Parts: sequence; structure tokens; C-alpha cells
Amino acid sequence: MTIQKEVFLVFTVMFLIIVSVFFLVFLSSVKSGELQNVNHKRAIFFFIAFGTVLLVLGISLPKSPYFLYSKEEPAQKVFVVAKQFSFSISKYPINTDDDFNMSAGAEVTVPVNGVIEFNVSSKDVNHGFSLYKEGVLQAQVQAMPGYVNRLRWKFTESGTYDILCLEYCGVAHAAMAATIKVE
Amino acid sequence: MDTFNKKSTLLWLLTVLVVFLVAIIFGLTMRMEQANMVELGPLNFYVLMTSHGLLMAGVWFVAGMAGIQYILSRYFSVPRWGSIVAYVCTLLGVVVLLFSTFFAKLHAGWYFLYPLPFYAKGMQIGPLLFLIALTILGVGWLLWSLVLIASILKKYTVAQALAWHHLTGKSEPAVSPFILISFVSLIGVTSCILAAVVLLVLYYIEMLSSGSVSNDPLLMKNLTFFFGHTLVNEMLYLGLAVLYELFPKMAGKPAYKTSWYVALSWNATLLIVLFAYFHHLYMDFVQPVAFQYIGQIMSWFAPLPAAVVTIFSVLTTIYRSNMKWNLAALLYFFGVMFWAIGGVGAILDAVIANNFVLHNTQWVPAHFHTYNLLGNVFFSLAFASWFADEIGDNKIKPGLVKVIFSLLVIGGVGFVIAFYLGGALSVPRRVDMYNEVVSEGVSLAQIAVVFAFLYLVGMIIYTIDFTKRCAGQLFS
Repeated sequence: MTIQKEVFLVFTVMFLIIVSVFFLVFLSSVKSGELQNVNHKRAIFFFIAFGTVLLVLGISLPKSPYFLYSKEEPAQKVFVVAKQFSFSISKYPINTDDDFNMSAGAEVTVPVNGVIEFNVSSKDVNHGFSLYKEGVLQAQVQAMPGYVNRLRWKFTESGTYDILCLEYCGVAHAAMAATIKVE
Repeated sequence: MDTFNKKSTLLWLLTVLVVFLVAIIFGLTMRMEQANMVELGPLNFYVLMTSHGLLMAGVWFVAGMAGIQYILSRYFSVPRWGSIVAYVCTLLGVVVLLFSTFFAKLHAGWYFLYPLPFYAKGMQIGPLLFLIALTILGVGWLLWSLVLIASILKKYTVAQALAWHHLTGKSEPAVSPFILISFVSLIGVTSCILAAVVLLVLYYIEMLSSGSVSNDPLLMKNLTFFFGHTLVNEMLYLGLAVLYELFPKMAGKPAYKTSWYVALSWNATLLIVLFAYFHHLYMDFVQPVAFQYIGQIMSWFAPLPAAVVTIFSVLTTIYRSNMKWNLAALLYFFGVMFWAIGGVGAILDAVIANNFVLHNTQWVPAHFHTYNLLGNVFFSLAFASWFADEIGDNKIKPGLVKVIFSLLVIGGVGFVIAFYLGGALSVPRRVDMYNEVVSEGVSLAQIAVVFAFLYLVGMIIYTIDFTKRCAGQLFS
């Protein structure tokens, strides 16, 4: 199951719990009862919620993508420069307009199961660099002018991956796409 | 009742309802384009997207502020000019804004991420008109916010308005939760509008320098999201402040009191909310990693005070309350429920590891539409319904309550579920069409159109009923 679907599942369970609680309370509202002191229950609820937050933070923070494969040597460095409305992708640094034009539209091939370091930047506005496999988003990073975002990623399956711009960048944003081959 | 207060609130609410209908039609048209039901072309789509986002953020912000102004005026005198200046600036700002989008074709999105306005197609005057519109809105709203803060500080010191004495067990002077939450929210509103002022000044400097000055994109992005995220959060809290005041009375319960934990939770919220915006920059790996972690930690702690105090209080207020449900109470109660559900969607997205595959997918509009369309909007509609009952000639018909409430809930839930499914299926947000990689987006948009239409019908009926019951009071 993809991470997205796992998140959707968790969300659905929480959705049903919240709706059930509110409906039960809503249904109870036709009756009348004495005012109760609920501070004890509130305190229990608080500590359960507080504990859950700490647990989630403890489990999820180390899974952040900033240090992915940081101790491994990259098998391949890939340079990506975005510009309205195309990506230029190369195994060599893209410094000039000529570099950009030479690599724009060309498909790069990278090794499967090797750490790939994407060095992602933009020549104009903010763009998004995202990797899709068969319609499922696998990884992404922003392409920001004046900065280079480094994303390390390991492709575990060979094939052609789609690259879509995921940050709204102007009128042809939806058509801004490329591919990368993994062998 | 103060006639000015009544008429100005009525004017704000009528304006909000009309602009909301227009903004829904913009949004519905966008979903129809994505569903291949109309052919607007990308430029018109993004013009609509920019107008839709700004109108929605603006309209529900002023609705919240109008509610605060009205209830505050029942506590003590609030200067009239803040509301008047804000109203004039809002009308003028919206006219210039729509001129910049529909005439000059500015289409940089509602948070106009730097430096997109300078690179967007359309007329050259577009970015300048757009910035002027935002300046007019910002000036009006900042003044309004400062006037309300000043009127609270005429009666209380800062420490009292923040209920710090309640933290130490003192109960005098009594500060109601409404005053506390309003004060906390207004500080947040002022902070984020000040960030917007800095952002706009930096834009103007670059624009007037004819290219010799350029701004730092990372700084601009931080300012943008500090402003945008905080504004949207605070406008929810403005709605909640009014809920704290009105809801217990609707249930026939004693007014909520500011206990030590209410004071603590809202003081904590004041601070936490200011740092949660970092989650918008998770995918900017050049942002210091400490900020990213602070973003997730704050985003996860932010709901705690609200959940423990507000949601718990609302549930215990209703439990075995022998409640006589009217439209206002229904909208408040279920608005809190959807706010909680949207909050779950939001904190799941605020986990950095999840955001890696959810950022800028439809999961984002899914959660913010949940707590806006079904949460914040419900809070303001609840206030408007209560207000109409207070000042209107007639009460709303019970049958109409069922029709309006059903249409809003069914339409709203169906509409946001299409977005959640889009997020689960990696469908991107903010695209005018879906390519073959994410083609599921088309069917989801078709489903969303049907439900958005139901919501629109519900809002049209609500607006007609509200106008029929209250509009005459404007001229009485």
C-alpha cells in the first residue's frame, strides 16, 4: 500500500470516530441530565492526546527526507533546472542558458538501486520537482530560484518515471513534465 | 441595541454572503474545467483560481471580524471608524483586485508566491494593480484590527486581556473566553498583516527599482506563508471566539468561564500558531532543518489546546442538554465536528514524511476546504443565523433549516471527499487539466462538481432567506 493510501486509511478511521462521537452526543441531546464536572475526563483526554502527539513525533520525525541516504556515496549526481515551462535534466551541471537548452527535453538514465542525488534549482519562479511511478507520487522537492535543493533518492524498480511540476508556476503549469529512465 | 452596530454588521454579512456566492461560482467553474465540462483555457482558469482564493480568504476573515466587532460592542463601546474604514477598503480592494485579475489577467494565485507575479503572463499593469489591491485591503484590515485591540485595552491591561491572572487562580477582573480569544486572535491577525506589509514593501521596492534590486526567494516564501497560513488560522479563531460567547446560551447552559486551563490553552495557541507555518516549506530542503522540525512539532501541538478545551466543551455542553436545535446551533455544533476532521487531515499532512508525497496534491485543498467550507464558514453562518433571529422580523421556517443544512453538509462533504481521494491518488492541485499520469483527476472533478452545485444551492437558499428576513432593517 502506498503512503498516500495509508494516510487516507488513518484519516478515514479518524473521520468515522469523530463523526460517531458527535452523532452520539447529538442523539443524547434530546434527553436532559444533571451538569457534571468533566474536568477529570478532560484531564484523561488531554494526557492521551498529549501522549499520542509525542508518540507520533517520535516515530515520524526521524523518517523525514532531509537526511535520506546521507551516509552513502551517490552513484549518480543529476542536475535539474526548471524554467517556465520545462525541465532541463543532466548528469552535468547546468550553469548557462546553453547548458539549459542542450539538456531541455533530453531523457537521462540513472542506475536502479543506486543513490541518486538530485540538485534542483530554477531559473525563474518556484517550481516543484516530483517523481511519479505509474501515477503514484514517490518523492518531491521544490525548485527555487537562487537556491539548490538536494534530494537523495534510490529507485528500487527500473522503468520510466514521470516528472511533474508540483508548484503552481504560471499558465502552462499543468503541462510542465519530463521523464527519467531507471535501468 | 446600537443602531450603527446592528446596521453595520448586517451590511457586512450581506456583503459577505453575496461575495461568497460569487467565489463559490468561481470555484465550481474551476472544477468544471478540470472535469472537461467547460472550456475556459488555462489563463482564464488561473485568473479564476487567483480571484477565488483571495475572495474566500478575505470574505471569511471580514465575516469573523464583523462577528467580533458586534459581540465586543455588547461589552463596551467600540469606535465605529475601524469598521467603516475596513468596509470601504474591502469594497475598493475587491474592485481593484478583480480588475487586476479579470481585466489585466493577473493569475499568480492567492498567495502570489514570489517572484511569480513578475513572470506571469497578462498585462504589464497587472502585478501593480494586484499589489495595490492587497495594500488597500491590508491597510483597512490592519486599522480595524488595531481599533479592536485598542478598545479591549481601554478596559483591560495586556496581561488581563490575556487572562494571565486566571492562570494564578485569581478571578477578578473576570475576562470572558470571548475577550481572551478575540484578543489572542487579533494579535495574530495584526502580526500576519504586518508580515504582509513587509512582503508588499519588498515587492514594491523590487518593482520600482526596475530590476536593480531583487529579493531573496526563501525569505519571501517565509513571509508569504507566515502571512497566509496565520491569517487562515486566525480567522477560524475569530469564529470560535463568537462561538464561546453564543453557543452555551443556545444550549441553555451557563456562559463559559475562563478557567486556568482555558487561559493556558489560548495563550499557548497564540504562540504555537505563529510557528506552525513552517510546514508550508517542508519541501524546501534549503530551509534550516530545525525550522522544519519546529514546523511539525508546532503543527502537532497546535490542535491540542483547541481539541482539549473547545471540542470537549462543545461536546459536554450538548450532552443530555435537552437542546432545542435551530440552524445556528446545528451549524456551530457540526462546524466544530468538521473543523476537527479538517484538523486531522491537516496534521497528517504536517508529518514531514507524509508531506513528501502529499505536498501540493489535492490532499491540501481537501483539508483546508474541510475546515473552511464546513468549519469556519459554518461558524460565520451560525453567527449570521443567530443575528438574523435577533434582529429579523421572522424566524426561519423549520423545513428550510432542514433543506439548507442538508444541502450544505451533503454538498460540502461530497466535495471535499473528492479532494481527499485525489490526494490519496497523487492527483496534483492547482492544475487546469490532468495529463495521462494523473487522469483520475477528471472523474474526481466530475463528482466534485455535483456536490459543489448542491452546496451552492444551499447557500443561495440561505442567502435569500437571510436577505428576506433582515435586509429591510438596513433602511429602517
